[in-house]
Amino acid sequence: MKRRSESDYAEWDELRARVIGLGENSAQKSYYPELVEQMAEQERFRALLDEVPDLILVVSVTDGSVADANDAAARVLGVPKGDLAGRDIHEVLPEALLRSIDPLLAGEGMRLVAESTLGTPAIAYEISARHVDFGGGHYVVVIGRDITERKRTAKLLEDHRRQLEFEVERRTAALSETVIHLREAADVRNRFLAKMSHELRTPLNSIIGFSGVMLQGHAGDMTEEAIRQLSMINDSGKHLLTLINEVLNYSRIEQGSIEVDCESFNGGDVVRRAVHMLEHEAKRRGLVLTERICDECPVIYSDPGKVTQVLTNLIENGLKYSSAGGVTVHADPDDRGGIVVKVIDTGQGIAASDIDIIWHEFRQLPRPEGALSEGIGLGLAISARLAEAIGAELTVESQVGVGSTFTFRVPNLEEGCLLPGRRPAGPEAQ
Amino acid sequence: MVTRSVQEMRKFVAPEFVFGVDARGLAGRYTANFGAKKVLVVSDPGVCEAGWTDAVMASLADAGIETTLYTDVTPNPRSHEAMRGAEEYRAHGCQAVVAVGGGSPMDCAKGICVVVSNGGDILVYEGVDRIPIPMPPLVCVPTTAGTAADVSQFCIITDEHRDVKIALVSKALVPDVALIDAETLVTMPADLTAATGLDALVHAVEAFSSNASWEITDLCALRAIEGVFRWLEPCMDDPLSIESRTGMALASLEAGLAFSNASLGATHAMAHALGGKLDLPHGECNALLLEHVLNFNLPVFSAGRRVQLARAMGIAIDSATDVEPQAISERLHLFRHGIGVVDSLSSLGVTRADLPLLAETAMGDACMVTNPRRPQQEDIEAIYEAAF
Repeated sequence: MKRRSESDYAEWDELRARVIGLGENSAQKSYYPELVEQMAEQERFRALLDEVPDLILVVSVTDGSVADANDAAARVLGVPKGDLAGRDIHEVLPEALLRSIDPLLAGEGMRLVAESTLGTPAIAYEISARHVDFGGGHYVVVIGRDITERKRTAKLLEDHRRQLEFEVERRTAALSETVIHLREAADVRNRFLAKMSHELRTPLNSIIGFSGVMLQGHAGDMTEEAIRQLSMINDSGKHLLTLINEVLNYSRIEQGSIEVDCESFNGGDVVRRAVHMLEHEAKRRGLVLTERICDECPVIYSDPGKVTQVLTNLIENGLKYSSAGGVTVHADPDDRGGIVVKVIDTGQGIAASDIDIIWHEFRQLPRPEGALSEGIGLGLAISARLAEAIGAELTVESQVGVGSTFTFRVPNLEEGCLLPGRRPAGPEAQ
Repeated sequence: MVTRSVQEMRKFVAPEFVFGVDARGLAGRYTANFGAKKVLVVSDPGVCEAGWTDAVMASLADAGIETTLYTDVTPNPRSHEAMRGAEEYRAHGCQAVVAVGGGSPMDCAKGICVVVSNGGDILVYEGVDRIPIPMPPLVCVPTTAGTAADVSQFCIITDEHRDVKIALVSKALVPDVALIDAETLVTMPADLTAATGLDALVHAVEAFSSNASWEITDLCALRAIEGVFRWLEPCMDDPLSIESRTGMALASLEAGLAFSNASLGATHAMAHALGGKLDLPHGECNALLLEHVLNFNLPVFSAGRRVQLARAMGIAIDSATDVEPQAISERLHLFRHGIGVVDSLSSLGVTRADLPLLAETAMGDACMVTNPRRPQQEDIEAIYEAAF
């Protein structure tokens, strides 16, 4: 059994001090620490509320009195800080706004958003109000936000929009006028070109005709030198006639007068004929023109004249731009009953940056070194228009220094069918 | 005996208390004034049967307060009963506790309150001044006269795992309001009236004996001793007498104020050891031990304090300057026998083999530190032996 010493009893003395209420926790029989914490929390909350620029009012549903309000509310409503609480809301807010809020206070509806002017000078506020229950009481919290800046911005935006609309209208009118002028100018130009071409062809036919007659010896014998010079007159006349025909053709297209004249024909035959027409020209240029045409080419329904014209343009172009080698023409059926023709040349090729300009009127790529300029740059432009007119597709792939391949896909339009993209106002239209 | 320094700081803590018939009816008003809307009412089945719990709950209902009743409280309340009560409190969102009953429901209510505000297990707060956070509001309506838990800073809970009663001593345990209504005492059976009445007497004698007593606690203690000797027997004779019951209620209150502020001594330390180990009734253990503890303590009293004590007990002294310690313990012995508490420790089932362990436990009890004479463990064993 352990005997207690004086030092053991010292512990008892220390314990005794605590028993009689002088220990460190014994001054704590109160809720003060909790109260202090709650007060601090309330102060934080108050500071938050008062720092908010929006006006905030808490209105008791029971008697319509203001239960709480923040600094912004007191400032805007012109009531000294602290004097708002307890006041009847009807003394504080303008009548028009109260007409919106009163039903809410009467328990009709849960929330509302309205606009109102408050304070002096009057400032526009967006008012939102809704029911909130806390601490066993029922309240409506009213929040007002100054929307002066928002309104100003909205007005600026509206003014700007109107200004833009006006500007667009003005520009559109100016453009329409320009378009009319341009159309008129184009018409004048086309009429002029057609007329001039026609006027030029008459004397030119005489030049070609009579020089031809003379070359055949019908006008008597000529010296060798006279025949050589007369041949030059005849060739130049023919060349000039080609150019004039090309211009005439283009001006017709420009005027929108491409007439499509469809019939059924063997696609291979048309290709073969076009190649045949240019064999002489190839030979003249010292080039080789070869063909590889499908054995059983389909019979297609399209405009054979347009197809021939596009093909001769493409082959001629190939010949023009090839200084050696030649042009190869492939024709194959496509999987939808049409025909695909590829015209492959061994020319200089087209740089990727130039590939778009070849389709433009009066634009030509530089010719091979040493070659003379031929034509006036309408061939591909006309071909593209003609292809479009018969629903065909014309594309090009090219590699500089190797050559170009033009692909011409001619669809089988089938008898009675309309061209794609052209819908008439017929029974099919609803 | 510890010599009290005249410079020593002292304090006196008492709750607000309302004393008088019908005070129980104020439960609603007081609880509402604490701002509580939902309360946990802690009581026990016996008190419920007597009807006092319903009366208090009706008062709470009249004040618009929702109540949750918790009555899973046994005599010498167990720690798990306090923990369960705290769960009930939280589950029902209570904001205050109202205790209706004797020492057991009131101590259990205190335990619940400590756990509610401090968290953790109630056993963690064993000892002196170990409760950092105040309790939620606690209103006590005592229905016995003796325990005085309604005004004291003590809370006794049984640690059922170790079989010991632990003491929580803290100013935080003083309830907020005691509503002391003598009318609630009339339903007490005779043995309970006797045991609780003797408990009040032991509180008063031990507070007077305490080495932490001072003028204010002495005032209460001596008045309480007089009161018990004057009114306990009449209560036994006429249980329905409001006058006698009021006398005992006042004596119990005075004893409570005295011991709550001066603390107790060896009698309580030893009774706690018995109660924990053998689950014996607290008031009876105290009563059996007190005369023997006084035999040990009285020799260190000043002659003047022995005379004061003897006079309060109604011992006739003719202008004497001292009194024999024997006279005082004999008076106590006869008094308890007079009201029918005639047991000894052995008749309560204690064996001699229990005594060393009981003495060791008692030496570690917080009440022991204010015993006027500092004992060795063998002294405590000798006292148990004397009461055997």
